[in-house]
Amino acid sequence: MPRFLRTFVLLLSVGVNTAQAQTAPASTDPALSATDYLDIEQLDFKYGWALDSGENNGFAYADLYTSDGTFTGTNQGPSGRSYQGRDNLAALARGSKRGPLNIGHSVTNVIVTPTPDGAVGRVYVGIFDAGQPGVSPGAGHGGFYDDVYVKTPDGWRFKKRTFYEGKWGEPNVPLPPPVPGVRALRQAGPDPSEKKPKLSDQDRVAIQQLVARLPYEVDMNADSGAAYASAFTSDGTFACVLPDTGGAAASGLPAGCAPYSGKFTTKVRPQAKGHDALAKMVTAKEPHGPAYVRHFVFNHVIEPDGRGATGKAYVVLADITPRQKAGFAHSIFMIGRYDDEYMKTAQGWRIKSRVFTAVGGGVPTTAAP
Amino acid sequence: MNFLSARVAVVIALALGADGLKPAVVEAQIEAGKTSAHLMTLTPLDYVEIKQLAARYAHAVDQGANDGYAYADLFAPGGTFGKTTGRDDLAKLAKQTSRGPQTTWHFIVNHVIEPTEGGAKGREYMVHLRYGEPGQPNAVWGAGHYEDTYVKTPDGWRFKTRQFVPSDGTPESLKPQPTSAH
Repeated sequence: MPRFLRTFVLLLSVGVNTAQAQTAPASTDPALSATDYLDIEQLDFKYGWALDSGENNGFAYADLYTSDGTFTGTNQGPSGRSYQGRDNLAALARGSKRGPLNIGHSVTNVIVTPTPDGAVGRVYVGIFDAGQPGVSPGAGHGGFYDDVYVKTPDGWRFKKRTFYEGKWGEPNVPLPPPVPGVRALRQAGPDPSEKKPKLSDQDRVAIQQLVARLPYEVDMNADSGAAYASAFTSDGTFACVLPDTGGAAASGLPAGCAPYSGKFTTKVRPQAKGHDALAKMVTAKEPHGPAYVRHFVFNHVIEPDGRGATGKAYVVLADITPRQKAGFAHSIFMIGRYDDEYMKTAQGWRIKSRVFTAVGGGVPTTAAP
Repeated sequence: MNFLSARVAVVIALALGADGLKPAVVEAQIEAGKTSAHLMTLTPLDYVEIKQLAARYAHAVDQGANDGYAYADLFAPGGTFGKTTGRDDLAKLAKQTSRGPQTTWHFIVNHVIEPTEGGAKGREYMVHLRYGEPGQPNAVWGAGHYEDTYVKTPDGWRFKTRQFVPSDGTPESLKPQPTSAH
């Protein structure tokens, strides 16, 4: 490069750096690491699982809060209702409907903002009505949570979570101020007291991306299932379990899906194993088109295990009537859960096994890879 | 009804060619040094920030904060949503679309992000969940997906372009076709 050009490039880069220094957040502003953001998002996603399942007699839910943590439902009574302390919170997550197949609270649109004391957040929640066998799921109700998060020695926890029912028009309760305006995130320095996570930030992001990608490969399937299949290990498997029909005879069930055994389990005979079978399965059984969307995935929780990682997620299958058709008779076909095993291969993270368990909805005519 | 998607949705042909999102599975491309020399290296914080940007989109368009400018400021200068561009016009669009500060109806999931030469591109599914419309039952109102490009500005990641593609097809019209490559 000629000298004058090198000088020009140097001056230009100095100019850019100066501009960045003027507009980037000041170094004294509170900041979070990528690990913090990912951990808080996982906390938000664990919320639905813990509340809906009632695991550990409700204490899995209570333990997502600090010891003095509070949940407030502004939709409960004229002035709302608050629950504080481990026992009171655990009681919220108990009841006859709880269990591994009770699926409702589905969180997305997670905004996290660092504060001097930790972080605050605002997230959407759709509380679906999962339906019953033969009864279609419904949109239920929903709104947003306004959160205060605190980092404890055991990780990030809710110090305060407040639910606001979604409502058009004038608010019916006093609302918190809007989230602060968008600005660049600043990477916090390393926390020396923190243990090294078993899954790196890169691993978690790669697994999130792997799982986010699959609905496109099912619903749009531009290559006869090749991309779908290549998300799995070469011996990867997909299995599905049909809704619990309570012993009633079911008709129109897809070949290869197991009937519900009466107890939730991920030990199910696979419907397809290996790339060829997976590609064939998804192409033969799933409706697909270039702009078709059907599989909406929420609450993707990722945990390390000895061999790689496991994951679980809620999935909502929405049947959308195209805009040009009259009626707009949209519906939710089925709601269920995915249970995954992931493995890190030379090509990156792959799905070793995925089990889809349907929770409610009409007797299906297709599985839900 | 004056819905954003009905007003300004731009249906684009999904050309999953050289310029589209390749359907190949994600590689460990976020690790430094593993991306192509031509592609931007995205750190985990870049992924986090782009996801936060998409999350903010839903809040901003539903609630219309700051007279719609909370929405407009998610776009880079010259950024576009469909055919709408310019900070004032984007803010106006958000203000028209918002149904009030307690509204939640854009539920965005399945966010796939890939590096490009100049920044990143992404796709998300979006389902409209109509919660709390006076006189109407809560219901699924529609769905589709976004096609995005992002650019890293001195103020952080912003949308360079965003287009909404309404869902097309039904299980009945899109019968599985074992031998067909769509």
